[in-house]
Amino acid sequence: MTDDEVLAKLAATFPKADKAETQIKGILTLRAASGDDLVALARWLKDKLGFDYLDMITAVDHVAERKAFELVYCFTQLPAGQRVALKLETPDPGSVPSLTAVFPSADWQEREVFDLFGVRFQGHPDLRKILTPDFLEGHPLRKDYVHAKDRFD
Amino acid sequence: MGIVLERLPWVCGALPGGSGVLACADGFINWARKRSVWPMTFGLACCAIEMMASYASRFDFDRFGVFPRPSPRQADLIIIAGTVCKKMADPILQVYHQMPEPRFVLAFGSCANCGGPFHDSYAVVKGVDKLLPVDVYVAGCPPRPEALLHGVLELQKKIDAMRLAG
Repeated sequence: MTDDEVLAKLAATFPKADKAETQIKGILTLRAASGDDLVALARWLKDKLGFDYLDMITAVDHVAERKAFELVYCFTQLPAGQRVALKLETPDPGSVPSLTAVFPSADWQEREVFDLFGVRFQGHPDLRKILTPDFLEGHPLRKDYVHAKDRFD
Repeated sequence: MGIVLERLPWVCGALPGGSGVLACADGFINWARKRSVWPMTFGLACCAIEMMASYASRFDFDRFGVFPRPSPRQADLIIIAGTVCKKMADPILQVYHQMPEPRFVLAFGSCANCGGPFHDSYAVVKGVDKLLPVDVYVAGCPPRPEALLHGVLELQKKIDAMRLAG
């Protein structure tokens, strides 16, 4: 499936979503207008277009410029090796719907984004820290993170 | 007994029923102890690769009686080879407390010594001496296997100076 075909199908099914302004190099990058249709969009990518593998979830800190986080999801269609990325901007503080119902592998990846950026995922079955030690306060990959000294510093 | 008699100034003599050896307890125990330093198999980061190379045939740690042990209960030495994350601090302490005394700690590489390149990180312990009493520090990023051999030889010197009393 070419990128143009994906975009044409996207425009027909999700008129609010479109091609993202900034493209990830070599990967067709889409943009979801809001969190409302994120789960439906992911399910559509998985069931109708065959992007059945969730590569990764990460976030970009734009809090200083526009008080928002940009979430980046990356999906792969394994037989063809084709990839597609999906971006979604969410205000800070705010929350986005969890993809765990569609991709069970989103569980730990969303916990990681929550742990390091503080983005909350609605509907996540077990949203708690995964990487940082229990006593660490705050979310260390945020640009406004200030590290409080602990007993190991 | 040939090597033993050559290396140690013990008194060996014939007694009714066999030979007897008269030796200083410190000398005998330290001699046995320093030549069978068994380290815990424990690697944390890239320094562990150098540690594994030390065990293998090219550098041949066995020459010094150093055999990696899979259980802390059989180990005398723990080589902290690599970056100690704060989340790893408690497991390290747990392993350390399972080791029988006397036990020794060797901090291997910059990260274990002081946090190394991750000194400013929110996640890294700034030197394993915040957790454990370190006997020998080996510098380098990562140190070469020869440096680890040297570190163990230094530990042997330290063991040699141990006294049972006073």
